[in-house]
Amino acid sequence: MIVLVLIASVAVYSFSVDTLGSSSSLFQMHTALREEQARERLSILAVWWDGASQLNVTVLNCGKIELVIDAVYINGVQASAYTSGNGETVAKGSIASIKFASSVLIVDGQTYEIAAVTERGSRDAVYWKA
Amino acid sequence: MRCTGKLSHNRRGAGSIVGAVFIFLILLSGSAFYILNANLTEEYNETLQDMQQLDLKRNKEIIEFSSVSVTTDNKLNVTAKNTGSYQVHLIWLGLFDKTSTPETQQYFSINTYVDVGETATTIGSSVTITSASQNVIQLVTELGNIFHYDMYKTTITGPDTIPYYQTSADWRNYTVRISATTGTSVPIYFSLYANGSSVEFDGISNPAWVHTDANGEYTVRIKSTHAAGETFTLYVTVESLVVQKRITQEPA
Repeated sequence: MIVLVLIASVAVYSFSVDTLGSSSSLFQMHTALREEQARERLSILAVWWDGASQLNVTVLNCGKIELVIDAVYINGVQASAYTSGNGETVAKGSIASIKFASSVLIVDGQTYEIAAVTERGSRDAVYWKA
Repeated sequence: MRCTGKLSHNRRGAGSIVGAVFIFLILLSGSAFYILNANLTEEYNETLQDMQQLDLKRNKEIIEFSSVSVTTDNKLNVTAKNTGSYQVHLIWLGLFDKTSTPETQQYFSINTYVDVGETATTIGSSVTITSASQNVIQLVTELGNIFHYDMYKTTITGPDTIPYYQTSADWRNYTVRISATTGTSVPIYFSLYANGSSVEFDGISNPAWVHTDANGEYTVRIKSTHAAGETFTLYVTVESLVVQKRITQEPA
């Protein structure tokens, strides 16, 4: 009888600890990610255009944590042909230049929304006149 | 029989104790996880508060350009005042030359703290610049604010050396050209000043308040009568932009 109670108790205890542990780990991971995202800040300083299709977006990391620029959007369309800067780690207080071929036709005098998005999902957008 | 019954009763009692111990352990583990998660949540909330505070500070950062000079050796010299509510840390200086096609954009690392109400001078003094270009200057703060200054495209054309003034043939012409930032050609008022001890402008005082003509130009005649010769600087001040030219007057 005692053995049965002991086995049952150990099983229930193990199950409880496993369940609590895994849900706690998930919570910790989720909270850590949210905290990192909360500490991220970025600011688009300038947009450069070569007059054809090449663009260069200069981004400042003004947050409390290093960041990685994951994507740049022009009027909501994601750029795909990156030349440099994309995926590179940007230290706190540093600036990054993301060069790419625009996926949207750039017309002189037109205004475009340029958005930079980090790997953690933070975003900054500016309206830029070509 | 009595003995067996007592043994069974004892075993049930022991089983209950074992069960109670494990229930206690489960509750203890649960409490530990709860406390851990509560601590994490608290840390997260503190981070959110810190970042909100940072955003608040960011919104209250204001920098005003007091003056922008281009020195005689083509170096930039920015003077800026903190008119906001918090100390500002300037970390980047951007210089855009809009004359070239496509425009060029350069960033220079700086490290200048400006207290509330204070003025910082000689910002960007190591940056080479030409006033003959249409430049835009950016000051970038650590918190991510950007402050722009659109420079007038300004040139002073004339000789680097002038003679000691003896006859009217010794006057020398200096032409100041100023292009408006908007691109439209309208008269632009500016001041002229030469800091030499014996320098005179023809027909106007030194310093003088003048304006450009329809072509965006103004020509001033200058003479100097320092017997031993001297080097002076001609200053053209357009709004808060100061452009300089060093001129040497030869000895008599």
